[in-house]
Amino acid sequence: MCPIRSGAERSEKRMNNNELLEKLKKLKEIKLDSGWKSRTREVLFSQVSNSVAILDVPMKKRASFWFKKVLSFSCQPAAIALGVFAIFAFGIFGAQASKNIKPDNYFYTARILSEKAQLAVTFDEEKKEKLNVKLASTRAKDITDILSNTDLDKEENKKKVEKLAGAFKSEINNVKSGLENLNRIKEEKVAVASVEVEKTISKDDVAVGLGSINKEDDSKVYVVEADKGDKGLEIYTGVDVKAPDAIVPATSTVENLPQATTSQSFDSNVARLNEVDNSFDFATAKQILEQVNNLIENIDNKDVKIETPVATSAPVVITASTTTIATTSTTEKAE
Amino acid sequence: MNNIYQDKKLFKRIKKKDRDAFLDAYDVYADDIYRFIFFKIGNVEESHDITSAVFLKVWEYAQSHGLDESKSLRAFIYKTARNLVIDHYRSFGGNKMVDNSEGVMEGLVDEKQSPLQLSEKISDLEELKKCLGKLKEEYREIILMHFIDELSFAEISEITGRPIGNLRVLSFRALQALKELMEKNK
Repeated sequence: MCPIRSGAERSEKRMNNNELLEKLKKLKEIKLDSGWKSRTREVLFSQVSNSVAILDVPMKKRASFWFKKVLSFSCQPAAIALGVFAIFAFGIFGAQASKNIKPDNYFYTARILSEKAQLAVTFDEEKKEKLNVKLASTRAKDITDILSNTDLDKEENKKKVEKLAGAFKSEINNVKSGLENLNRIKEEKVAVASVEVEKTISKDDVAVGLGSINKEDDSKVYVVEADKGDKGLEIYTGVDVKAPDAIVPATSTVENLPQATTSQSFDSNVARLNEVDNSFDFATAKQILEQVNNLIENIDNKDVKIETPVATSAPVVITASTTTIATTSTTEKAE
Repeated sequence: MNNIYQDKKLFKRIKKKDRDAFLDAYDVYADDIYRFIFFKIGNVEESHDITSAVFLKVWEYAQSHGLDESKSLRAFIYKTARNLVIDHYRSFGGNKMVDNSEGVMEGLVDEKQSPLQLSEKISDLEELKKCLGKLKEEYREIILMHFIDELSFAEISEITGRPIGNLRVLSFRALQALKELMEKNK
């Protein structure tokens, strides 16, 4: 049964509630320390000001601000170096990563682009041509791999095969023209090197000869071929200064053998590729392309070097009576 | 100055990135928020930190997300404070009020009051604080918001997500529970 409360009891209870509420209201007096509050106000004001400074700037101004920032950063030498390095790294590693992508892959275009980027950052003409041949032969090899697949014989793949065959033909042509260009570059290089050797030798030898002539007008001048022996030779034939042509073959040796081999290999491969191009013999094509790749790699490792042994340290001894020039020559390889 | 009109005005100004409005809001609500946080976690230092974090968060949120004009600024600040306290509970494991209130009564020193009045006041507040600490979290919360900070049930509903009817019942029970605790302590 619910106890019946008297009016006094009820008022006491109400008062208690009011009392409690009064007490609770007193808790409002618990406040922040005024010093801390003002300090925090300042901190908040500065933080808010900074954020407003950024937010208040219109979009256009903000964009130009970042553009200027990026521009000023990118003008610094370190940033340029970093950018160049990134391009090279992307070109090289990108090409490496995409090496295994075959022509039937969706990312084949990306591989071609990456190879083009690699070519774009190769500035040496010979290296560029080598890389071109290498890439073209790899592409042609990939195409032969796909065309060797028997699944492609089906009727529905006819268009695909035609497309690939066209691509194969163009890649083979690329390889051929690349090999020819490479051959031409090599020949030009050898020719230039020979001329330089001639110039060097003729300058040395003729200087000696002429010097002797000027000193002794009536004397006979003898020119000794330097590589005939390490010791000085005395020749009493009394002839005029020999033309440099006579000296060149003896005093300079161009490393003819590898050059000749390379050139022959290029020619033979071009000829074989011509045959393959017409017959579509993929197995042979693959073999030739592998040979071409090996050849290119070998050139990379063993480049044609022009060695020019020239007459150096040639003490000239002039004897008064016989006016004999004794030239003691030692052959040294000039780099 | 807890009138709705002024609250709305401040809210609008803050939305327009008015720094002065934000500082006005800080001046008005900082003490209430600090007290609300303090009675929830019971630590002066941490309450200070969370209070400043609340205001910064309110400003950042107002700038990035914009604010719904129909809501009150006070409710929004309390909601942010409540969420940060929950985060604090999570990081320290548990929602019990830890009594580390050294320095909390410093603000109560009033030169006009006699030492006797002051000591009486302090003892009353200490008793209340102790009892509040023993209450259930939801009771403590509604007492803080409704009976001390005088938030309306609509505002509390906005903050806690509870229906208004539920809040009425909860506030009544909370008050009864506090009274019982205080009587026991006498």
